Amino acid sequence: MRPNDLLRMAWGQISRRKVVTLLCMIGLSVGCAAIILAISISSSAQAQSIAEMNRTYKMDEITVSAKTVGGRNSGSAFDRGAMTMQKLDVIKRLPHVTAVLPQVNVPLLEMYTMEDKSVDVQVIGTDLTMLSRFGYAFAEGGVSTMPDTVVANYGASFGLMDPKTKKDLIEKLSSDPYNDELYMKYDELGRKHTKLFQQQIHFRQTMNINNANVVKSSLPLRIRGVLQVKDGSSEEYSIYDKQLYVSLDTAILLKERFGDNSGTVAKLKLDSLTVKVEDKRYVAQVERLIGKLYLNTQSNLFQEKVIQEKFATFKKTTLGIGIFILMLASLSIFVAMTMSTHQRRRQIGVMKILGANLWQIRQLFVGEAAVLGLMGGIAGIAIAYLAVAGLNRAVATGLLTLNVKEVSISLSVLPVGIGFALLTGIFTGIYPAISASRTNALEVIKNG
Amino acid sequence: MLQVEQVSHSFRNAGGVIPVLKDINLTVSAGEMVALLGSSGSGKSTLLHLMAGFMKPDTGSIRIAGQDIVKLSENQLAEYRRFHIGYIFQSYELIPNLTIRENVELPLLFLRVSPSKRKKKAMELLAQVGLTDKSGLFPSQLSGGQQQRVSIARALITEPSVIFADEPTGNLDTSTEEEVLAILHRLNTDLRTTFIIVTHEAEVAAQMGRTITLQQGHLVDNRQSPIAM
Repeated sequence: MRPNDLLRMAWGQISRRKVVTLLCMIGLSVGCAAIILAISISSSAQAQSIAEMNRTYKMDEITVSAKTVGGRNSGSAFDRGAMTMQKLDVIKRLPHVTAVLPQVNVPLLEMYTMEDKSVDVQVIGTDLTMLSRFGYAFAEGGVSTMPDTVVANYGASFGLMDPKTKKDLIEKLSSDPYNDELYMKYDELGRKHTKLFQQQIHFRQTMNINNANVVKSSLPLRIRGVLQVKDGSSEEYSIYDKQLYVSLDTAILLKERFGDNSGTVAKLKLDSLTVKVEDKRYVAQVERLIGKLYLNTQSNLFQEKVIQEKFATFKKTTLGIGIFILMLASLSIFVAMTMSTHQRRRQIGVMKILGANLWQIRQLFVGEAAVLGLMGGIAGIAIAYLAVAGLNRAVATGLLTLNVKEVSISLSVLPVGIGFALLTGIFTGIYPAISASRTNALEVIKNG
Repeated sequence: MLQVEQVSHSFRNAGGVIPVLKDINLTVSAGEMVALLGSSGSGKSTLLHLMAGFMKPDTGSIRIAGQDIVKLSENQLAEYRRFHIGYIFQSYELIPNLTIRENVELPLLFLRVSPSKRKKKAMELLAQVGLTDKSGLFPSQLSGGQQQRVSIARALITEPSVIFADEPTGNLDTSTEEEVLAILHRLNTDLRTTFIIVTHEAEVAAQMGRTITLQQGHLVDNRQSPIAM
């Protein structure tokens, strides 16, 4: 039979047998909706976990560190595992690497302003132009090509106080550590904001040279950019994280000034690198290549693996429940189709007498079951959308507690749901189809 | 055209074997109009079913256009029915959810004939049985006589070599019966289609070209009808 004729015949039967159609549709649509819901809930939960993970851990970044036995400054002239500028250049040119952020740590220094307010900060030498590529957003200013440029993070603007006040408070707290009032005052000063943008600053450090305390200061530098709170960090925590970013040249000068003679940029050994990769699927490949440079790498791919393993079991369980419901639901189409076959024995007999062969009779019934499956699948999608809307409302209003903030139905799940319903229709239609094709035409015509 | 040779058939039930047909021999030529006449239980319907390939005889052979249909498998028989025979039921047996035209087209569906050709052919046949204006209606909207005319058109649509009719006028009143028989005669004359018609009414049989009479499974008479002579 031609496919169009088959569909037309199937539709004719379906539209005529409304009760049978309704029975089949209820079963199949509930089953299909169960599958779509099962997949959607588990996928939404997984997607939300991965999004949370991506916020917490940068999945497309690799942290690279030196592979030096005995520490960076072990004194050996050749240090195979050191992270040199040459290796940095090689890494920058690796396939799929989009940005590299080098890091040179300068010892903790005291930053002070022209008003002689100060705070201890961690100074980091880096490629300032790369900051924005790694998720650092500027609240004020930006990166300048001026050699004295400093970029302050959000926390560096807090807690600046004059040295005398600070000294007095610390001394009082040392002698009276349980004085809440003193502690509150110290904490209040620690939260006080100072506008750093465009301010001229110096660094200083008190050093012990020949048993005498010597205060060393750096040349003046200027804050040309202030960063926002980093994505994923809380403002509360960020005010205690005080970092200033300078260029690698400035970092070398500061290290020289404060006792660590690293020489020129070319001879500089980096403390770490953060490598951004085009996509997280290339992370493992880039890690392998960096490993060949005799460097240590660390990424967060394992976090994703942990989540995927956790959700694989969850997905299998929910899908299993969905399929079980569909199997139960398929009983309705099986019963309805078998009933329909029995009722239509006379019609089948006539068709056989008019020349329909076994295969054509089976085609008719399987075609009918397939159309029912398709209709059930479409109705199932509608039910699934309604159920998801209800579910999300229940979760939002607190009526229901679920490990998912919001369930969403992915478009890719819809063909899966329809496919399951269609296949269930076809499979459950096979037995009635075979049974129909075996009808003894003469018997039913004679006996009705 | 149709040869029945030494055909015997019996039915088995709990009571044992009941012989229905015994050593039947007959030949029907192309274009003939033959009546199978007999009382209830004479075996006339069984002989019709055997000739139409709905069942196989215990012994003997049935040849249509040189082919022994007794040796065919179920699917081959379906093909044989599709191409070589048409069948008219006593109770019309139209499919209720199909229109009149779709009912007439039905045998062509199994032959994968294109919709346009099917429609053209069905409308031609509906015109021949005088039901062109009813083509879009459903069987339940037609009278018994009209439904039987649809059944005749359906039997003719594959242009079969022979049409078997099982009591085609059995459910009709006298005037409608005459109307249907007149159509069968006209089609036989116009299309040279062979008709083998089962009836228990001698008046109907008398209008056919030849009457074969069966009695208790035996062929007791095979003669030209007075109308043919």
